[in-house]
Amino acid sequence: MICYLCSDELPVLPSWRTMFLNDIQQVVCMKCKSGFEKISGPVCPICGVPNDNLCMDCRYWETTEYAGLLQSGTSFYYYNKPMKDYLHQYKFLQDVVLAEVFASELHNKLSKTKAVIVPIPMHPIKMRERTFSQVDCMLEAAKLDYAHYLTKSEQTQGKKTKKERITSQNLFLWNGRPVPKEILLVDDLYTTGTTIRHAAKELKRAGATEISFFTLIRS
Amino acid sequence: MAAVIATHAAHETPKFLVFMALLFCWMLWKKEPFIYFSAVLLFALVVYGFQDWRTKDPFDYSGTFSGNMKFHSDYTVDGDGLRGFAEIENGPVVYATYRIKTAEEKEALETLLYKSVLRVQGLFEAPPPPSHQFAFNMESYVKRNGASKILALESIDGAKEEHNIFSKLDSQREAIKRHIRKTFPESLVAEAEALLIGEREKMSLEEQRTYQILGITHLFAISGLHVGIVAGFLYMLLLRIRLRKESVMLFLLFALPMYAVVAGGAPSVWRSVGMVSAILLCRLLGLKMPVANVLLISFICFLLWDPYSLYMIGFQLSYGATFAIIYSFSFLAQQTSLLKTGFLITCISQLTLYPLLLFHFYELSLSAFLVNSVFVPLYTLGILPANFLLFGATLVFQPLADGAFAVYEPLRGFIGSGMDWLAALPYQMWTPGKPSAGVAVLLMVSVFVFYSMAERGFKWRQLLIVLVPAMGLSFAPYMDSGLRVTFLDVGQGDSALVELPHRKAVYLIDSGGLLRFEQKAFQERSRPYEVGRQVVAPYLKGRGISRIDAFVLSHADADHAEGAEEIFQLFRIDELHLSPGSESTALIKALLPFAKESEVRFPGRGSSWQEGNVRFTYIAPADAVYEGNNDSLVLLMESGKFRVLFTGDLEASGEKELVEKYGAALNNITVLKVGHHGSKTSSSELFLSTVMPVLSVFSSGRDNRYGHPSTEVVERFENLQLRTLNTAESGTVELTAKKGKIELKTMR
Repeated sequence: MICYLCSDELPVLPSWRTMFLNDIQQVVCMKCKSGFEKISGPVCPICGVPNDNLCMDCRYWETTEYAGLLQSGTSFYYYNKPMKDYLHQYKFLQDVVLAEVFASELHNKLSKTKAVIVPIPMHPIKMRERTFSQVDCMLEAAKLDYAHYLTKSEQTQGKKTKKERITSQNLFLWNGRPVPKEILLVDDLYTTGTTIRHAAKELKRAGATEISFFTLIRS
Repeated sequence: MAAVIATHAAHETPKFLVFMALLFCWMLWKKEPFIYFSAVLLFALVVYGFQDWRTKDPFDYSGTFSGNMKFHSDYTVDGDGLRGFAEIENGPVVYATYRIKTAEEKEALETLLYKSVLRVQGLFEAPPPPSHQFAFNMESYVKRNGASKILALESIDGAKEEHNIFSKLDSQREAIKRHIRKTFPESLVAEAEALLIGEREKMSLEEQRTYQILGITHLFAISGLHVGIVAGFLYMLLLRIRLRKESVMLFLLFALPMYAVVAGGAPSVWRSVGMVSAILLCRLLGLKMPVANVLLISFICFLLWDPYSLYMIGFQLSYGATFAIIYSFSFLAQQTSLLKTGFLITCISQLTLYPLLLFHFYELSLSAFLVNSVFVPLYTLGILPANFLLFGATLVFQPLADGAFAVYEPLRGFIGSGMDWLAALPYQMWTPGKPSAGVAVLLMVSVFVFYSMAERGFKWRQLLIVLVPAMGLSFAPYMDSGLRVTFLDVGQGDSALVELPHRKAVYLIDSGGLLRFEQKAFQERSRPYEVGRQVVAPYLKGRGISRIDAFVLSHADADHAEGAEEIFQLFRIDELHLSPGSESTALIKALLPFAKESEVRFPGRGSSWQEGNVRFTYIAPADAVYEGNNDSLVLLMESGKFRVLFTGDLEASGEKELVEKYGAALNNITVLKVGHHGSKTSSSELFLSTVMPVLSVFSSGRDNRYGHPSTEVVERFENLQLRTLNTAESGTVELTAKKGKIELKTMR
């Protein structure tokens, strides 16, 4: 087998788990994996950014109408150069097989959670452009169940300034399906937290009580 | 996997193919594509058909045989016995046995056998049935080597030398063997032969027992490490003399299989030679193949080439250990220290093989886990290369070798005494008994579950997954509320075992034995047949017994007590009960040095003890003067209505005395061990009509020279309408009293 990212030989060491169980296989080599830097140490209790205490952004958010929406949040990796390259190839060059790269980590982290996993949805037009939803595909690769309760009302967030983003109108609409009490929002990237908070607000309005979030990357 | 099932099914019945369903379940669980299913099914059917076709045997076994045959290279000459598997010319494989008649004939055979086709005459015999379920089973041994009959040779009339590659290599092996025996110091010969050419016949029983206790027997088999070292050594050496890498590899490809033949061709040798060759071939051709696939392909090739190897313990252990180590690679790769990795490899091979080892040997060396982590490096890096170098030295320049021996021999002697000291430490062997095939599979599953868990991060508490089933197996006999009495089929002789409910105590009454005759020097065997070691001990171990509370030797005759010495060597014995006065007989005098750690008692009439609700009473002898059979210890065991009388070799006059003394107290015995194997001098009508046993057991050998049991005695039992069993016909007789019911089981 070869590594999905660098095409180097990926030695398959025989193991008991691969023989008896259906564990998710690693598809990238150790070298590529080590390029992704993991977040460790003390983090902000709300958004999971490395910080000894509540971070500046969250302090600001807690003074707005979005205060108290999120229970907690975690992210796995920093948005470093290898991660940017990866996300570029996955999302914009549409290399859908790369959804498997973090599958086993996602599975180990999220398979035990009691909350219902809700991925951040894509706008239908965007979906037609990209042909797949990056978050849904990652969750599927990680063999995790998820459900959609939201639809995206506005097209894109990526080309706005920070100010515009934080003050923008609600980006999501409830799709009308009954919403469970406990929810875990999942997205690929957390930048300012606007997306997550908008989604959380709409879900809370629809009846959710405890909302936390998980993103693969933290920029 | 499919290959295993199909091969086994072809040998036994097609019903075993049902196990394929399990394999398919597993594949379903693994979500394998449909094409694999069809491929595996097709493969299994082809293998089944092929193996089934191979086992067809149209040979006519009736009448005498007269013709040509050739022994396989693993035949044995011991004393005046020659035995081994042999191929009849244009016919099937048989197990041939021959009794050598003179010293001259023995010498002639030893120089001819390995390279000659013999002209012989003999009779076909069915293999004898085993004496109990834990004893060596000749029937299945013969069958599982692809034969179905024993050919008892009456004469060897001629020999014709063969000249082909195999006979040349076999001659080479013989030459090396002779050379070692000539040039190595006596104390080093056995080990050198084992390590260099895989020949273990010189190893003494004591040495073997030491290695068993320490769990290092495998070091003396030529194994993967061994072949790896030989190959690696040669490779480096040849590169040093500036040969091209490719030519060295090519050379090794030819040399290794030759070495396998010279080294005796045990399964472990062929496995490792096969794997090393395959890896070399891949290197030469520039192919890349995962080592797991190399292993599995060599496994399938091996099975197709010799399907019966599946049943060889060496084959199972060799592939089992290698399989386990290879599949633990990803776990081992996480380890950083070399020392720890070495220790883990030892543990993994031991743990994986333990259900298999228990299934074959009923006991397990617990110290093996630690001892191996010292001795594996010591042997592979020290003793093994030393033997190769010493052997090289004897070839080149003997005085140089003698000099080296002067240093090496004391060193090796020091290691040897270290081993003996270690082996003498108590509580190293765990004897839980033989697990049934189902239980062994369960134990195996527990090991695999543990591996799968530990691979994701080892925690100490995961060890419970393995320990709990093992403890369960160990404690199972303590849960059994049955009282068991077993009359072992020890041939002509006596041996009975009493196991109290919940294993409160275990008593052994006599150990069987052989009357040995004076022999000529050439007839003497280095491994004579020993009843204690080969019949009694396996039964005890198979039942999970390692300690005997009391060992009763009814009297000092060989057929009751000759095997006792081996029992003392193999078990811990708390008490030894002897008939008063019998300690002055030559047999007991020779035995007592082995019984140093046991308390010796001389009970007489009236001595008794109670354990739970079972009462034991000696009702004879009354005096302290030992006069032979009539002074046998006679033991009465009573548990409610279940009463068993063990009479030793008591004769009519002794019986009369008992009737006079005890009278009605002896009425209605449940089981009588008939006195003196049914000799006409015992079992008087007076005694029988008093005792009136529900069941009487004769403990005699098949076609014994004394004609026991005598027809007169059998008639006496018949006239009184008493039911009898004879161990000569029924094999071992087992009685279990449980909840007021008695269950009778005979071996055949």
